Amino acid sequence: MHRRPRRSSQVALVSAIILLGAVSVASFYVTDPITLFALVELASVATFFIFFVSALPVVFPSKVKLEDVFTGGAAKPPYLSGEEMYAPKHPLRREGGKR
Amino acid sequence: MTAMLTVLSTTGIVALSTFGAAVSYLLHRVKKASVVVAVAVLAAMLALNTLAFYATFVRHDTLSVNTTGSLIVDPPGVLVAELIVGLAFLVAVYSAGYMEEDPHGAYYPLLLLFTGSMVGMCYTQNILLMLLFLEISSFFSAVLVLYGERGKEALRAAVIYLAVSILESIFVIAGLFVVVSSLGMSLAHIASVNVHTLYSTKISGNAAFLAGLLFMLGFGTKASLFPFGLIWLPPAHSEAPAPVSCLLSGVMIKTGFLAMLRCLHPLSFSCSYSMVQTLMLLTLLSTVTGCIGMMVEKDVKRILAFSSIVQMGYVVLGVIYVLAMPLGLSSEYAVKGMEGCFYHIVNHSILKPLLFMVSGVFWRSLRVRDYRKLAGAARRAPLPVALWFLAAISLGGLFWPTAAFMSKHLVLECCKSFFLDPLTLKVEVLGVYGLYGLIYFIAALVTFITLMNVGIHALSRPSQPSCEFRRPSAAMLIPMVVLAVLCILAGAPGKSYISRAVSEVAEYYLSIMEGGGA
Repeated sequence: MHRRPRRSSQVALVSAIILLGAVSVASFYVTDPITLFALVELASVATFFIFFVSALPVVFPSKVKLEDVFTGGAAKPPYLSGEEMYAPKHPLRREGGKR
Repeated sequence: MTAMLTVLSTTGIVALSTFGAAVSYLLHRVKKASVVVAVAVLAAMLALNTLAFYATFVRHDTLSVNTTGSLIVDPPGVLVAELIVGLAFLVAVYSAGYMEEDPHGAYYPLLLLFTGSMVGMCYTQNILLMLLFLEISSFFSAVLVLYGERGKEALRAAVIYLAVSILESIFVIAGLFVVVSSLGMSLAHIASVNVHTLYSTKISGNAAFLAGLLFMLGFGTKASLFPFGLIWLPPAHSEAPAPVSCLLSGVMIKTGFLAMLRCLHPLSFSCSYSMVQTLMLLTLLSTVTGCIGMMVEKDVKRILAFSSIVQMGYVVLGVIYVLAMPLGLSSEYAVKGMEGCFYHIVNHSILKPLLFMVSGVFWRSLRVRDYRKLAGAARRAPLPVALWFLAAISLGGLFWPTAAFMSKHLVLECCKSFFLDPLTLKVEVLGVYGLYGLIYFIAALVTFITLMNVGIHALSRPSQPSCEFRRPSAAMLIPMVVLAVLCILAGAPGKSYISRAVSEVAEYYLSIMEGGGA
């Protein structure tokens, strides 16, 4: 079962989508370069917000195979450690979650 | 139909895509509501774009709304936008069968936003807006790549894709700075630089070449051009789910190409020779590397990804003849090259999605991506395998009257005129002229043999009976059949709608050249 997202986050996502649409359409008609800059910036912010909100749940696993965690009563922790979970290499995270 | 209606229909497409995305997201918990909304919105977008198509190709209207060139409805933009919306509609139908569940409710909204951003890129000639739409389409398609079935590989492909997208943006911004500084404009006016600025104010030779090179690396990377195109394209196209691969390979690389063409064409007036030579070299390297990739790969989707790189070589080669016109190249060859280029864009937008859809059937029904394990596929899924052969023969383009034969023939015929190529062999082999002609003929041969080899493996008998098979649904088969019909129509001899539309695009560019870019 997936958790139901909060209403406030849903409202934020839909607002970002509508903002992106409105700003994209407005940018077609604007002649002043400074206003166009502002609209492009707004569109970029909305795009980044939608990107992170939609990418994060896809990247992180929502299910854990319980039989993989409790292997015949062996004392394995009931959570995913950094070593078990796949994550791309990036500068803020050490390999395998080691410090 | 008035000009205002055309303008409203084009901006309406972008507005509709975002509105549809919001509605699709809000309704994602209702079973099948998300896909129904997406299909309905894409049908409406297709209808709106067809209005613009009618105005441009039947009434011959070219509309420019304001001086910043933010919204321009011209033949190449309308043609590519029609391909984008049409293909996105078929992909949404295919996805209904392919994507069984969308737990986060983001797949169809992202599909709509991705489509809208690509259409936006076709209807603008403002370079900053082109960059914005390029960024939007990259970010949303990167999330769609994450929906790939092989989690770790999909994540890696998306990370590479995003990293290269950032590099593209840096190149385009640097190109913009070169243009602004060489024109002596203040930085505040960077947002007003558009294609018409480039046509009307001639930039000096070296600055024009530098700006052209940066735009080539920026937009050209999205169009799968060497060297950066080869980094992101094979993993992203192969790890994305099949419907997303259809859009990436079928139309997204063409929007990158269109943006590149729009920026390079005005700059070619100042530095035609160096620009043509650089573009020729990059295209040749792309084609040769793509051919090698096709020959060594065993993964069906990676073969198709490398094939896209090869096919974009023909598209860019066609454009080179137009860019060489300021050097005195005959307009006859420029028109032929441009016709061949856009004809091949249309053909590739039909054939490659069809091949990716069939590869999606292989994966979803048999869980197979290695073509050596495809034995027995034809018995279980005869229609998709038959469609694979149809698309493979058409894309190879070695036989008349297949779709790609017409377009490749137009491009390769121009090699007769290639006085720019210092290595041109003035010989004719099998009706192909010169060294470049020969290389591209070999590329067609490699495409044909590799794709046919995959099909032949699907025809062979399995050594041991495999247990699992999931029959493809009607939602998956219908778009494939539609694309197959379009593939046959595209290759039909005589004056088709497609050939008339591409002639119109070629004449549009010729009129710009004859007017000295005014």
